[in-house]
Order: sequence, then structure tokens, then C-alpha cells
Amino acid sequence: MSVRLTVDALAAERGMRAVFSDVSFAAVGGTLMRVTGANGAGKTTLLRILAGLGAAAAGCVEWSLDGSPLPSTSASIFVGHSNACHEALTVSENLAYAAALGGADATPGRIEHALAAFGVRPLARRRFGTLSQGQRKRASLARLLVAGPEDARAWLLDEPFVALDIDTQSQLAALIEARLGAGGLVVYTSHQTVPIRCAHAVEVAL
Amino acid sequence: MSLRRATAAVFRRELQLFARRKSDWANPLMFALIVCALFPFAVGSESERLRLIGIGVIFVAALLAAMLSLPRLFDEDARDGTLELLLMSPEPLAALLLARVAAISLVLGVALALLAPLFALFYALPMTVAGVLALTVAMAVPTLLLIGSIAAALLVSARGGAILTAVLVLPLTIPTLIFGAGAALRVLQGESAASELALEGAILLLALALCPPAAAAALRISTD
Repeated sequence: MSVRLTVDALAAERGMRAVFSDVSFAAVGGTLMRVTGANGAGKTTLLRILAGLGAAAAGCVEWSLDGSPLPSTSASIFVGHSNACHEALTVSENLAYAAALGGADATPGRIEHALAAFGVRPLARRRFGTLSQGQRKRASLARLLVAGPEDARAWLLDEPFVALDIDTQSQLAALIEARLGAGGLVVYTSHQTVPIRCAHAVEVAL
Repeated sequence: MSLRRATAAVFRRELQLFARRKSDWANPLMFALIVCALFPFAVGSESERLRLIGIGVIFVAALLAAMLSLPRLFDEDARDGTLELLLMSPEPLAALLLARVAAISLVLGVALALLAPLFALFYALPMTVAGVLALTVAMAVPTLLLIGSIAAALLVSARGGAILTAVLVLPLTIPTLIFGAGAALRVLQGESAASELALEGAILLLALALCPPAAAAALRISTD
């Protein structure tokens, strides 16, 4: 699997006001891309455009997998500020729903494995609404792993380290490293400096 | 295959939510019950007069009750972020929305249709009329939810969206109201209701074909 992302002269607006303009970069599988910038610089806006959730004011975003173009929505998994989990459903029900919408087959084994990677396996049957903030974040990050290693989608992580304790931060960093090692593409924003070992690290400053 | 899996997941989740949170279906039903129970107090208890207004009251009450569940379609999802999962799915959004409206229609449509004969008792309507009323309510609820999904998608997480949705959607349900209530009225007068029922069914089919793509487009615009 080789994902390729090309961004050309991208500009975004929010409420008729320009947020950023003329952002260009390219990245291939195995690249760790960190988006930096002050509050309000448009980091989340950029990730949402990459994910296909928002429209760009100008410029274009192109995703391709092994040379063939992909629509933005099938090229990436986006984990944003909100946890994308319903409070009345259990953790594993939420993960199964997310996986089914993403086109993956989430077997109970896969879900348990994904939860175990974030150390929240015992929470699988708990209602999402009964979890603490940190547990919620971990359970929602488990969404990244449910589709399994053959899933080629790029990870778009918006402030993934917020609300995580130190141990979980390094757990997540290790999972990102493993993903990069397997040829995945990871784009993230973060105010914290969590060390992630990576051969190809790129920083995009907005 | 993956389309079937995705639509099944949307459908199942909606039913799970109805099972977990009883207020989602109990509140609309109680609302319809109260509206239907209030009218006889206001207009007096002569059965002749009640029979005349009964069909209309029951039908409008059922539509208003179904209306109450429209904010549930997208607002909550927009707040907790699950709407992004729907929008990012590689499957066609219109099909996913149709699955969701189908699940809500199934629960509310069946429940309101089952209650319609009970409401008919309040208004001294004969059982044959009650039967037709149940059928027309069962067809009107999905029609309303399909049309309403467009407005709900346009107004997702807008302030005062619930009222505005009602104002936008209710006028569009007038044809369904005319033919649905008209069918029951025909039966009350001892005539055949076949043409009204066929027209109401036709409106439902039209809504089934046109509304999901429109709601999907509206959702993409409003969440941009």
C-alpha cells in the first residue's frame, strides 16, 4: 500500500475571512507530517479539508493509492476534537458502527485488539457516556486500529494527545511509529511535543 | 456488500438507540395522545361533532408527533461528532440517510399507526375508519420524515432549528394530509378510499426517490 497526498496552493476561508492561503506540500506513505501554527491558524480547517469534510476556497487536494486517485473521504480516517461516539451506545458498538461506515468488517476480535492497544479493553461493554474524558479519548482513538493492518487509509489526527496521560501518549506515539513503519501516512496537529521516531518527518507551518 | 453492511449498521444503531432511550419514542407518542385527548374537551362531547373533526385531529397529531423526532436526525450527531463518520463513509450518503429515516419511520410509523385506532375511539369513529386511518398514518409518517430530513440537514446545529424545521416541513406535507385524511373521510361516508390511498402511496414513493439525495446534498452544504 502506498498512499500519496498532494496539496497544491490550498486556501481556506472561515466566515468570509481567509484562514490560510497558498499551502502546498506532498507526502507519501511512511511520512509523519506535523501541522503547526498558533491558535486560529487553521490547523483543524486544514485537516478537515484533507479529510473531505470541508471545502477549500482555492487550490486542490489529491489523494492516490498505488497511483490511482481516491476520493478524500475514502483515503483517510479523521479523528478530531469530538470523539465521534454516541453516549448511549457501548464502546464496542460505537467502534463497530464506525468500522462498518468506513467499509471495514469489524469482528469482535478486531475491536478487542484495538481497545487492548490503547489499554481500554475492559471498557468494551461500558456505555460511552459513563467513561472519563481520557478513557473516551482512548476508546475513540481505537477506531484507527479496528480496520486492521491492511487498511491503507491515512490517519488525520487533530490534537490526538490532548486528555491522554503520559503512558497513553507514548502508547499512541508507538502506534503511530508502527503505522509509519508499515508504510502508512500520518498527519497530525499537536501543541504538545511528544517524541515520535520517524525516518520522514515533515513539518507544515501555517 | 460493504454498502449493505454500512446501511445495516446505520439501521441497527438507530434501533439500538430507540431501545436504550425510551423517551425517543415514548415522548412523541405521549404528545399525540395528549393532543388527541385535549380536543374533545375543547369542542364538546356530542359524538356527531367529534366524528367530524376526529380524523383531521388524529392525522395532524400524528404528523406533529413524528415532527418531534426530526431534530434527532442530525443535531445530536453533529454535537458528538458521529456525523463526521457518516459524511466520511465511502458509501453513498443518500443510502445511509435512507437507512436512518427507514429505521425511525419503522418505529414511529408503526407505533403511531397502532395508536390511531385507540385515538379513533375518543372520537366515536367506527372501526372501519380506524383501520384506514392506521394505514394512512403509517404512510404519512415516512413521507413527513423523508421531507423533513432535507430541512433537518439544511438546519443542522442551527439555532432555533427545530422550530424552523417544523415551519419549513409542515406546509410540504399538505398533499399527504389531504389524501390521508381524505381516505379516512371517504370510508366514514361509506365510499371507497382506493384513489386517495393510491395517491398517498404515490407521494410516499416520490419522497422515497427524491428526498434522500436532496438531504445528502443539503447535509454536505450545511456541514462544510
